[in-house]
Amino acid sequence: MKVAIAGAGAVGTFIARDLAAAGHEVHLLEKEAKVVDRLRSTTVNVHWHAIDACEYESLDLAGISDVDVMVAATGDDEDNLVISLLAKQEFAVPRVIARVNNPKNHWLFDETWGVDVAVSTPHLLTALVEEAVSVGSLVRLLSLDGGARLVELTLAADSPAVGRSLAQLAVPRDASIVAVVRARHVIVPHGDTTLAAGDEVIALVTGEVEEQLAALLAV
Amino acid sequence: MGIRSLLARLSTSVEEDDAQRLRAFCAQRGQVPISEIPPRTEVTAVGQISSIRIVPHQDSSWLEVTMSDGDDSLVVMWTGRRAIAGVAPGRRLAVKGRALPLDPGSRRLKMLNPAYELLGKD
Amino acid sequence: MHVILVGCGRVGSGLARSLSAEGHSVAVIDREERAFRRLPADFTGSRHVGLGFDRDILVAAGAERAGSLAAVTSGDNSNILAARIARETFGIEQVVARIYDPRRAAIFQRLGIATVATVTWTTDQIERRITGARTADWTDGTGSVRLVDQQLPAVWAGHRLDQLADPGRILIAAVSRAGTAQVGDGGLIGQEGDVLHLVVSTGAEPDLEHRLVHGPSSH
Repeated sequence: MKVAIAGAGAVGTFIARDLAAAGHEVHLLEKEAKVVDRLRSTTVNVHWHAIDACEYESLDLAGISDVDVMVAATGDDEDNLVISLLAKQEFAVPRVIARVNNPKNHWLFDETWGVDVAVSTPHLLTALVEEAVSVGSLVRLLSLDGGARLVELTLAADSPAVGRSLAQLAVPRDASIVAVVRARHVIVPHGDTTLAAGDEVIALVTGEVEEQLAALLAV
Repeated sequence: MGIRSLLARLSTSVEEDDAQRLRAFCAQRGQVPISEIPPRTEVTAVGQISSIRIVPHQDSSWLEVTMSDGDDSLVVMWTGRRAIAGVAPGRRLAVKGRALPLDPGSRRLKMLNPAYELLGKD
Repeated sequence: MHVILVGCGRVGSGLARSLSAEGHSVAVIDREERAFRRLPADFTGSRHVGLGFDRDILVAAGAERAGSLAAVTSGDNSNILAARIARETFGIEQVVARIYDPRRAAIFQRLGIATVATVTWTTDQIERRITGARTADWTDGTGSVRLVDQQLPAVWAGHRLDQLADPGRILIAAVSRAGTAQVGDGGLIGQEGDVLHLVVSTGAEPDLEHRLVHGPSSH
């Protein structure tokens, strides 16, 4: 996949490294030449462009016309909206993801500005709860340093976990169920919390237990 | 042949004639037929507006225009608009922009806020 | 008319001064309190500290009853945000945004928002669009022929512009559209955003007014 990321702040650089490590073709766009010079050597297999991603010509030069995904990840909401609009409207980028810095601006981040997915870290969980998450499959929400991952699974009606308490489930050692969301309310889980169909189970996992957990919860 | 079927045949041939003329017009003025628009490449497409919808969107609305060149149709969306003077059913239009799938995975195409030019009938 | 000005720099404060003097009610928004020092001492309009794309600030500035908004901050992206929200969320009729980057100006013009791309002409152009006044660009030595600019009235959209001309009295010298201009009407069909450059003999002015207001079927 070819991905362009605008903004080489902590967020943009982190995503760029992650995606490059996963084998994607990553282009990182940053308007401050000094930042580009400082960080270029800290990344591997990332194509750096010292350009202003809010300018049509710059985006064209960076090859936006054939990227699969554009991530507007600058620390400025206005810039992120304009970058998203240009990517979608002028370059017809199939998937545009934009970072929301100030939650007050969240309402602006929609198709009107070319945004397919808006991500504001404090809103990540609630957004996923409000959006119908695909039932029965494990979705990775967040990768943390040290290999820990936050994952989410919506229980199908015929899941073997439905009707059982967490204590009965025998969750593997390297996994911890941190929340159960039922009808948009967050339940802090205890051993005697009984799972129901439609529950969204959020768990923190490390190492290789992701599949074991999926086997416990999914059909 | 009864009068009714005669009328039916006449009106069909009028419609076909119109479609023929539309096809010829679009072939002459447009860069590519709508059915051959390559996605994500800047092109100028020509067609006649067959329908217009106003789609509510949060506090505002989108103008969704479907234009046809006699063989295929293209959806043009203007975000945040309720109306654009002169853009009405039956009007011929040239739009310039890059098309993308109407919905993910869809074969039908749309253009977002393209540059446009209202055209006369000839 | 109630006018909202976003940005209280040289252009914003200049507009506040002249629009107030012409009897319009004016609200000024700026993210810096100290920007209001540029306003004249006797300025009677309202001042609002905040962002021009913040819904609450816009409501406080009277967006729900405003007839026009001009976004003239030093940031292209802030200006287009404020202008779009004014137009699309609050339905303000006359919206103008100052955009430095000419390419971005052309792109945003397609969103139905008037953009003023050059710094030199900003104040003059915005004021002309807000007040709808027609001023002469040029008058001949005897005062019998004038060259005037006119934004295309909506009734003329979709009609051949040569119907507006009257040989010997009203001549269409040029039509500006989407960042370029062409000489003569060339059988052009009018569309939203067109600016007509008309050569008019003094006696024909009332006739021109009538044609502009009533559309092509008026004669």
